[in-house]
Amino acid sequence: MSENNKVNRRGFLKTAAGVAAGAITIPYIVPSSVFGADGSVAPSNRLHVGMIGVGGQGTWDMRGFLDKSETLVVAVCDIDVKHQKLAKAETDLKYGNSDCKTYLDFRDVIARSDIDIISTAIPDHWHSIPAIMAAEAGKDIYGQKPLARTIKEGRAICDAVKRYGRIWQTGSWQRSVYNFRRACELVRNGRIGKVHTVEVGLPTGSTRGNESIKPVPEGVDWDMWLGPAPWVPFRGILHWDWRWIMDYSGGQMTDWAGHHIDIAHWALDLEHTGPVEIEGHGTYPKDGIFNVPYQYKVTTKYANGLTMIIANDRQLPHGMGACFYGDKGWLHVTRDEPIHAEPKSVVDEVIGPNEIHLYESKDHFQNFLDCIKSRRETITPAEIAHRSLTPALLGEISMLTGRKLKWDPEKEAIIGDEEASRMLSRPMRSPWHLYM
Amino acid sequence: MNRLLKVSVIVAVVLCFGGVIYAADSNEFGQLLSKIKTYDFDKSRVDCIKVSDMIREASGKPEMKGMEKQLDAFLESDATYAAKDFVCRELSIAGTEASVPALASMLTDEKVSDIARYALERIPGPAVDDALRKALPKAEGKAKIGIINTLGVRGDKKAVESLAKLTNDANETVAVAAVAALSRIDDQGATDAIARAKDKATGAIKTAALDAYLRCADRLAAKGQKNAAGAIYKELYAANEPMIVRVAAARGMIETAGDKTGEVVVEMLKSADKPIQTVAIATLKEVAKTDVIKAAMEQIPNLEAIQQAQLISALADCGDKVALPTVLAAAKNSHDFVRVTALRAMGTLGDVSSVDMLVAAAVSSGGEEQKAAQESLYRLRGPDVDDAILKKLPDAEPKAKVELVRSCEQRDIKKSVPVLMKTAKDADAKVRIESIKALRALAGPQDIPALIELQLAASGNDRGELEKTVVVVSKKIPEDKGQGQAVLAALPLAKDLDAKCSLLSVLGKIGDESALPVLREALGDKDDQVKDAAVRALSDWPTATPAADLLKVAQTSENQVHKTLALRGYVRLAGLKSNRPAEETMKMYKDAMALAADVSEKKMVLSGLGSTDSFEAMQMAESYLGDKELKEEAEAAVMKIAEERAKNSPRISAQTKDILQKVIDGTTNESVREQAQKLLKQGK
Repeated sequence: MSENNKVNRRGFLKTAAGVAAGAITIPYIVPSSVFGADGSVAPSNRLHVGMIGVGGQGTWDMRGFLDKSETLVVAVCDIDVKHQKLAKAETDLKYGNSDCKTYLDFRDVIARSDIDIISTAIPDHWHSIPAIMAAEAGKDIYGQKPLARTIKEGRAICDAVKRYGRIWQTGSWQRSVYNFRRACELVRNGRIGKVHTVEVGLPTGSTRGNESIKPVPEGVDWDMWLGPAPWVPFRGILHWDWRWIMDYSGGQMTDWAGHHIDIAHWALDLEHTGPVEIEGHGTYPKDGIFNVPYQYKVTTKYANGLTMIIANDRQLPHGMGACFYGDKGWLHVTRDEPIHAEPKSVVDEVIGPNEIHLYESKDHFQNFLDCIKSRRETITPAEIAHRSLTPALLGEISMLTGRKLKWDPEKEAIIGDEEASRMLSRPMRSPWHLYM
Repeated sequence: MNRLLKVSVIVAVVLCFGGVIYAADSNEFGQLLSKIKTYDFDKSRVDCIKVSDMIREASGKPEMKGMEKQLDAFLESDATYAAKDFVCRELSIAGTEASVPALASMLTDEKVSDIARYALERIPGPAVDDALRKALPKAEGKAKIGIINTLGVRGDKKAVESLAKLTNDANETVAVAAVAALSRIDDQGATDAIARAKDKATGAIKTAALDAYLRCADRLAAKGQKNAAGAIYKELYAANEPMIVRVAAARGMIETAGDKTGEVVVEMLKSADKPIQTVAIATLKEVAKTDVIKAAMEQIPNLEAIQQAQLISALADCGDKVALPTVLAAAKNSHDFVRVTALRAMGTLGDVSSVDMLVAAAVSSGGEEQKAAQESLYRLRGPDVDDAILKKLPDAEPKAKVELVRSCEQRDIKKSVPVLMKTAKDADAKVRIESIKALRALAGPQDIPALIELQLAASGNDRGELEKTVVVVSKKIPEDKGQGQAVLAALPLAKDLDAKCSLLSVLGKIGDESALPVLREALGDKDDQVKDAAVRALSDWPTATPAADLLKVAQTSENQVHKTLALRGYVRLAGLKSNRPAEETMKMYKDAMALAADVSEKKMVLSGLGSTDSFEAMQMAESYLGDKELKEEAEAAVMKIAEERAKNSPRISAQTKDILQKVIDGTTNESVREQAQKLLKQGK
């Protein structure tokens, strides 16, 4: 028996990962050989996952965990019983048993001591409370972007994750795609010179008429769905379309901030700061149930003089993605397209060993699991997700007040605008509060 | 008297005038408010939006005061819940202490308490706090919990006493809310109350109190009161508290230890509790001072392998080279995952002195360990690393040479080209191949003659790899600057037919048009080997330019092999992207089909045809649907063309539908049938 086999494998996974072992930061991945020659892990040795929210995105994330040999999905939670059943069926089919438990209340999932990982894919207004509770309970967390609905909630999540030494991965998976990292490394290493402007193109929103009040569908806990958001009757908006209503989301701009603003920050080494000036203009629906802007343009300035323009794709020359303009050229990166640059030779440039090499992840879920074992910070920790979202949330406040804002990224405070500052947080409907 | 009268008149006029203006705005606003009194969640928001716009316009202006008054009065009216909810949201941004009476009157009514709080929580001023405190004892149920929450958010110090009492409330939700609220109030009394709750309470209240107490300590630490914070962390670090609380407290202790950070870290690394060891390691990066790192390093022998690996990674994250000897030692650890971690850490912490060790590890290991050593060798920083690699390369053992050659490529060491030209002739085959591959990435146009020299002197696999290298390096020359010139110039140097054919092959892949006359001439060479090489070279051409040459060979050659090769090349060129008219492409396929001598060649033509986006191509494929031997390829071609066309134009023409129906009726392949049916359905 080789020396490494003397390490109890369950002990390794569980003690390296959970509260049983505490928290750690390691930059390097533990080899799969620790888990056996083929990387397989016996079910009893796997990290147990509790899924909170198993609609479209949640099911996608659940499959991410179902595909990994190190994890076992043991609980699925949703306010819609239909979703619960579908998720359980898929999980049971995958494992060939009927062990997966279903829940309506996320608190019951977090309370399970055998669960190591909480994965959340729920409407934005619900992001903070379960995340903070999960951190307090010693779980590691895979949280969907955007990090939170307000800047103060985002800060509270970051603080809780840090306080309890939890591993957090945000669903900003573009960071784990070669093209995006490559583009960021080219920009970081000055291949297009000093960047003065970056345009971030995000999807355009939509409008919809007013909706009648309807009976709550059978099997749906509407009060739980609303949670901390103001009470309203059910009007047919439940899954997906909540993102066009301000109580629950900031629309496409905040939804996608965790993708392309995140990439812009990564490329420009702005991951731990934020803009100092923000001026937004949005076109809001003139009526109807949707009330977030369907067109938007937010111009932000950073302390280093950089201008970041965040707008819906139709208002930008390069559309979706991040387009960086430097004094020696430009570079555009987005999904499903090669990197475009001027001069064209930029895309073939080699990044030498003495230059900046960014954190490399080739698989977003695997990066999370590797970091749980090593206790290293993931490629998209909560703090970075918070900073990626901040320009969009400030843009939203600027649009709502109709004023240009000044922002102190260090103190995370709006300067000289008391009214705008009120929007940094939102009162929660009783009995919900941040520290349940 | 007259003067007094005059002044009075002026004042009256001013007041009256002002009043008229105000009344006008006020009326418009008032009328809008009257309209929205019956607003409900399923109704049009048009008038609500107008109200919002007026409020936003009035922000900071004198008229806002009057508007606020009207909003307050609205809350006391018989307006619907939805309308009052809307007004409370407006007041949450534009409201002032003037709105407190109207909002406060709603606080104890559970039906509207939440919407009142929505406004009050955001309105600044002590009057709001007073109102909340006053309402607290009268409120019940969710209204009470909401008021507690809002007092916490507002950080109301005057509420501490009341909240402290509520930590003992019989209702657990109320007690938990009170504890959480106290934790948000920056006040020693609040912290003391939490401490008491922590000691007395059990269950959920105890859990909330422990979390609250930690947050109090975090706030003190953030304010610079490290001693006070440290005292709380130490209290919570006690062995009888839950492990997750101890972990958080341990982190706090390290962060507030100041000069004693090293001692605290060592104490925790010595802890019998692995989670405590782990948190000490995790926090290292945040307190990364050399003395602390040194102290932590000394504890490595006492840690179990898992924690050793974690600590090595943490040391790498700290980036302090003082840790290098420890990492080097760990690279020889008996546990493979510790070795891998150490080897990876070398990439960050290592320097020129690490080259030998990493090469040796890459040579002697396999799997993850070898990969870790290689990647670190590629990432080693420092101005002298490249020189060290180049110096070691010529005299290294073959296996080490391979690793050093690979590192030249991965590190993009352009100045390694002369050395690699030599190792490309090494006695060891693997060294040669790796060198030729590295040259592909590193050599420039100026190196092409030397590369051709190597190509001509090589044989077998080496020559094949060198051909690829010459093509890649030649293509680094701009298209209009004669990419094939160096190869053309070398042709007379070819001493034998093999060498000549090798160069012709390279010319075909480069695709420099100035080489076409040479290749055309070679088609007529007296030697079949040269002819063969020319046909193959033209078949590899990156554009369709030599298509006619290939067609001619396919039509006229007496050599069956050349005919077949030329036809295959011709079909390949027909399939390349081109700006020529579609009918020309169709003619190419028709010519090819006419020349196809057997079923396999016909299948090849049909396969190429499938890439053609035209209805005529689909018709041509259709014409073979009835041919038993070609049916399968014909169906595939029809489906490929139809699907591609459907992407650009979802409406499917009647003629295309007929062809698809023919596929459906005639196919024996269920998947093809389903595919065709799906397309037909989409096209309706």
